[in-house]
Amino acid sequence: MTSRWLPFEGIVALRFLREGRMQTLFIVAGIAIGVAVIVFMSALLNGLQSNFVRRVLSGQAHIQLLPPKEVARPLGAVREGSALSLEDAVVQAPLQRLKSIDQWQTIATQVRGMPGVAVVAPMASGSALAIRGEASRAVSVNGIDPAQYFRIVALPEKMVRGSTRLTPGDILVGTDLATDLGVSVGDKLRVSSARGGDQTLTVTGLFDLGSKQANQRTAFVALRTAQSLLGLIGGVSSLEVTVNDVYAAETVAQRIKAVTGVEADSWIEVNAQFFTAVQAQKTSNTAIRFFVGLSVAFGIASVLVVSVVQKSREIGILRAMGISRGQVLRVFLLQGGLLGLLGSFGGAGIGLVALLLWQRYALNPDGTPLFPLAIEPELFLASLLLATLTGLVAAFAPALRAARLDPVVAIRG
Amino acid sequence: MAEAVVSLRGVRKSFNLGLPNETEVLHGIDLTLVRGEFCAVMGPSGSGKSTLLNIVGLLDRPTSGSLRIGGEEVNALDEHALTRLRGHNIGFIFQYHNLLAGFTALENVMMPMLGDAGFFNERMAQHSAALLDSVGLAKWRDSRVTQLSGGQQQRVAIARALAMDPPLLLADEPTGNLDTRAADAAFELLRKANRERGMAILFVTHNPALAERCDRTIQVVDGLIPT
Repeated sequence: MTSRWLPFEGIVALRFLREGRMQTLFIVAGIAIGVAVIVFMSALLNGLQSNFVRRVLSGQAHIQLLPPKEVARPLGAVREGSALSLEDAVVQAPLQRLKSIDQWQTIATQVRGMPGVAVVAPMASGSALAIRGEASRAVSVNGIDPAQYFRIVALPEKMVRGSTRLTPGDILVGTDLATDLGVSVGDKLRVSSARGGDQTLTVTGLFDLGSKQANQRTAFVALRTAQSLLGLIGGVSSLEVTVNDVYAAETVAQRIKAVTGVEADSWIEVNAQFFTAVQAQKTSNTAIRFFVGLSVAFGIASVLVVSVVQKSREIGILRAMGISRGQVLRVFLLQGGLLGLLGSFGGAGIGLVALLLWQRYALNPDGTPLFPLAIEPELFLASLLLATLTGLVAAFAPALRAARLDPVVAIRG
Repeated sequence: MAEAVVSLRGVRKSFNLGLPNETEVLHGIDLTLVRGEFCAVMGPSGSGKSTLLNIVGLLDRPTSGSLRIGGEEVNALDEHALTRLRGHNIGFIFQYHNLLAGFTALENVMMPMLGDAGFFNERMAQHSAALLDSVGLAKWRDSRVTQLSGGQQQRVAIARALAMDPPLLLADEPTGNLDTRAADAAFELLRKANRERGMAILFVTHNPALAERCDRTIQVVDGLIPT
């Protein structure tokens, strides 16, 4: 007797499965295909999704903290019968001047200490004109503290030429802006802001943010340089924040807003449409997994129902020998679990091969993978566990039927 | 008087109870089988022999009356206790061998012990091999039962029935499907078990010659044992 170390139920279940070889083979293949679809699709969609999210978030912070918006308040309260009442007052929307976050250093320290927050970086940004000889371009000047900011946007990875050195006299510009103004590393560039600031800076590096528009309009300078250019001495126009879990950004933003009173815009709020698309994709992925799982469960159940009918005489004999109902129940439950486990092993293997083939053959024109796939051991483990559980659950009704068989009827056939 | 292995008092059995087609098959059976008794049960088809055997074998419950196995009243026992009592006290041999097709001869003999213990141990393998040896099938122990002849299969079934060393053996026409020589061999094995192990045997048969070789013969006629 092989598998002598198994309990009685295990030995009988294995033998029953071996006996119905073709039946077992077909259902295991069916489960394997189902599991392979789930594994392949999940890895593909997770890869696609995290790739999207990474691309969206690689150039921006997860949360941006801004000074509270200026609000116009009409003179006096609009009260009925009051001498000061201004009925139907037309309240003009106030100008949103570039201003600093009040007590930004205290707020930055406070936010840094909040759970879920990874990095907080100050930024002074505003619009300015980049001038070189006769040519000029409107640009967005971003004053940053490189040590902090590069942990949010990995600018060093996006450098095409030069370095990321940012002393007070330096400027980093986008590749397209450099072309438009005819500058390269080492050249001088005059930057002039509407608030009167005017400085001549040295181009120390050219970067490529992956978007022509961004490359035409973006420039990075040291925080102090931007503060003096934009008239924000000692101040910052925003605090850039990254969080540990990108999907919790909105919750963290709400918490920051409640604690500090500043405006906190999360990437989820700013890219609402994109986030909805990501969520919709997640939902459809779950739905597909559920229905594939359901069809696997029905497949297992139907095979076991047939097996109970085929084996009813043997079940009767076992019962006559003193085998209990519980033991018969477990024999069939085990068969379901084993079918699920075997199928999921096969499925995990097929899924892995499909994923490796995808990574090898689905390439960008430059030969790099279309997008990095998420081949995580957890996904395979979860598939194994889920398929085995599905097998057990699916086997329950047939197993109960087997356990309840009347041995007299079963033996008579 | 010898110890009663099984005793039935006024046992009745009806099918389709409470339905318009309710049928009473046994009309009040009184029967006692003592240790070491080899009793043949004869009677025409449909007289209730198999129903009687199923009730004695605890595969079916009587509608009324008393049934005692080894001195224990079984009517009050629940399903679990019945299954346990059946496994330990009763060995079955059916007409159509009813072996487990996917297993070898040795595994078939071992099955009641394996089911009872839960896990395999070497002692059950040795005991089963000895039993197979005693029925003359030592050579066939590792063969699939489907590869054996009808007579050999019935001998495996006899060895299996002896596996738990039960005080009572129930044989429902075990020789009905065998040729004379094989039938004779099977009967002799039962006789041997009866003599050497003191097992009480209830042996349903249509063969008067075999019935004559038993200690006593009871006739079941229309659900009754006429005195």
